[in-house]
Amino acid sequence: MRVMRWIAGVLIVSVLLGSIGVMQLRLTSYKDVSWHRDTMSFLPQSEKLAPMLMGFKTTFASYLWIKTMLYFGSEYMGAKQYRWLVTMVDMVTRLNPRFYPAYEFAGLMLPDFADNPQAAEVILQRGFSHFGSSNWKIPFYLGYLYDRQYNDTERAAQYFSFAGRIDGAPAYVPAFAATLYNESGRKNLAKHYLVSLFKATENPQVKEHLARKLQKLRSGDVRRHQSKMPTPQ
Amino acid sequence: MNTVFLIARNTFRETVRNKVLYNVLLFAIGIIFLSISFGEWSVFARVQVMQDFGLATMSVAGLLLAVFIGVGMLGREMSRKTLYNVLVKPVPRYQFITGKFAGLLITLALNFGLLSIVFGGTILYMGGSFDSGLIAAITLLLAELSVIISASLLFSTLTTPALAAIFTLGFYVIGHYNDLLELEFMQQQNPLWGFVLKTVYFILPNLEHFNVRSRVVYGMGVGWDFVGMSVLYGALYSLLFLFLASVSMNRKDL
Amino acid sequence: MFAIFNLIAGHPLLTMSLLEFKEVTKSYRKHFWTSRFTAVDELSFRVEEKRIVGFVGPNGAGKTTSIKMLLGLVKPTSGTILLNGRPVSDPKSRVGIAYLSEQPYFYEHLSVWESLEFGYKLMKLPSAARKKEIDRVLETVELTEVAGKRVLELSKGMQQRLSMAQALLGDAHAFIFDEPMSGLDPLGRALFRTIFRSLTERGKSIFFSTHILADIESLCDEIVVLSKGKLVYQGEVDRVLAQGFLGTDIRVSSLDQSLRGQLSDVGCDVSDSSPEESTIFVPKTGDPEWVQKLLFEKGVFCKSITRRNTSLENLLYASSGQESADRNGKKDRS
Repeated sequence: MRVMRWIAGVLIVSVLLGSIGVMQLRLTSYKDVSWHRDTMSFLPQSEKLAPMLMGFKTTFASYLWIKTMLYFGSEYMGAKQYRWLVTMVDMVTRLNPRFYPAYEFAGLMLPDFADNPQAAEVILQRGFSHFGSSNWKIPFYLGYLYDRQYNDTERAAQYFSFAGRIDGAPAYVPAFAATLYNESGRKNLAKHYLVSLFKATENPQVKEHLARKLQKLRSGDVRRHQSKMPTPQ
Repeated sequence: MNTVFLIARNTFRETVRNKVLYNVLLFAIGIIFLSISFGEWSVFARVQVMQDFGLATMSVAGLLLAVFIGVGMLGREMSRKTLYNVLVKPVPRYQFITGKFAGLLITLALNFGLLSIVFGGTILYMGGSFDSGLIAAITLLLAELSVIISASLLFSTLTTPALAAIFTLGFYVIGHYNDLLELEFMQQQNPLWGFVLKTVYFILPNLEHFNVRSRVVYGMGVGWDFVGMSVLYGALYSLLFLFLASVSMNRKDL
Repeated sequence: MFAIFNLIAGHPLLTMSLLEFKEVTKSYRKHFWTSRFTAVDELSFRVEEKRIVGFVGPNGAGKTTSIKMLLGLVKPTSGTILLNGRPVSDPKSRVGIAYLSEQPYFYEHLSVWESLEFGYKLMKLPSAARKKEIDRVLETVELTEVAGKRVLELSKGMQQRLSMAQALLGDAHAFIFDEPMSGLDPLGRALFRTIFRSLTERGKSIFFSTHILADIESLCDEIVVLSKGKLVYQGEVDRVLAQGFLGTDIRVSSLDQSLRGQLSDVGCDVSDSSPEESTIFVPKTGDPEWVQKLLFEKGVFCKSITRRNTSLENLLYASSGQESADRNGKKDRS
């Protein structure tokens, strides 16, 4: 009697454990690369932070993002040092690589305010690897970055044409690529960039920044970035 | 079955008349409302931030309730001997455990229902939509809680309430760590060590299977087949823990 | 002698057993580093149906542990226990059994009515009769007025009465009570006695533990005596009482030495309870009237004369050698 009960108990537990193992296997194989990428990408770097956050990585990223925006605002109004800006944006995108707004911010604001186009490039490339062909804006920002900051027309054109092939990309995006490829009509390119970036963003801080740049460009102000721009032919 | 339902109903009644429930509930609703302003600060992606906070709040509130109410309850029944009321009747102990589990799960499900209404209202107010993804995420949170409650009942039959609470929290942490264990064994070179890690991974619960927050919030979608499999996975674990809790309870002197 | 008692008390072929302990041992280890403590040691006895059986013994004798084992709440270390003819590990053994614990254990979140309702439903009794039955038991224990109150608000005595109400629900055929009278005021005790009697009249079986011997003398048919976890006696109460009286106690104001000598010569025992008071014990072989006459002649005033019966207590504790020595020791010192 007692022995029978033991056997029954062990049997029940083994059947349950077996089924659990099968489910575990199925669930694990169900999760394709897109499930893992966000874990994989930060594992080598922020190994310490991730486990502490358990299931709340994205939540913490959201919180950090709010902090980033507040930090940016306070620096903009005050010291204008932006010392932690790169780190914060970088952390947000590591914790939550699907957080698109951070990439836009990185691509358009870091080169100007943190004076760090390299960081912007690294972060945007991370975004590109996560979003791939599902978001036209990230390759678009990359193209802008390579053209304006690195003066690398060829790479910029590659990214623009990539962005242009993605669903939802406005018609002017492939036009940028064409413009860069034939090296003509660069006259109005800077203005077009700014107008289209202005249209693409929802972030009021970014919008304001772009509007100001656009205004200065129109009034013919001489600015830091213009020296890098090729002179119109 | 009737007995299980009776015990569940009594458990539900007990939790509903418990102050802790309302404290946690108010706290959760407070956080959800607060997340509106988090959303405002974040300038854009407001709805996403809000959704993320809302789901995270529900997850934490559920965990707190499971630990404070779930663990305390069985311990109290045993220390105050109130379970004599039930067990001196012709009621097998497994029915008692099952009834407790069902009562707690019903309480938590109703709480989640309430929180979902607040949460949904807030999202609609902010101009988002309460889509099927969120329903999937909440369903999975409940499945996760079912595993946590059953584990907390098992711990309660094995040890003191304070230790059981710690074990339950530890269980939650390990459950979320487990995903990292998977990566570890996938990268493991040593076949023996890899096998050990793999076994541990397949036996320990992986609570990350219930976490689809990031996918849902950023509109990547979760297949209903995945939801179904995860719920089944949770149910199997709950069943295992309830079985073990019943065995442990059966051997106990009360 | 006890063997003979046992033979007469148990008629295994004539009646069905309500419960039976077969070589039951229960030993505990409070913590894993403490040594094992044996609460119940090789206990064997049986109780027939439709009898009122007192389960007697000093505190710590193992009564509560035995009752908990009987109800399946505590598992015996070895041996078997049958209740209603089934092993107690089978929940069905508790069908038709009502239990009243030493302390009342109630869900504090429930009202008096809800507690009874919960108990009623757990017994799977017909729901149509529920209200009537709860009203009936509330009336029996005189708690009708507090039916809507939370259990928490009741006094200890009222809670004990509610426990009794719960036990009375659904007309069980056998009642197991653990120290039912503890925590009751005199009125409550009277009420419980009335309930006991009405249960007896309706032919119910009652097995109850107690250390109040007056209750046994007035209520029980039979007693089972436990000491240090061992069975020391089982038999009819009448038989124990029939052993008659031991002698006479005469309380007097004071005695001089010559009178003391005279009394001890005839086999009387003199003890001084205070400098102004002594008690003369005249054994049943002696003549108390002669002693009274003697005292009168010597001008000693008799305060009271009482018969000393073989109380159950004496019998019970005499039967457990060591225990009685302990008790006497305590008496002498006090």
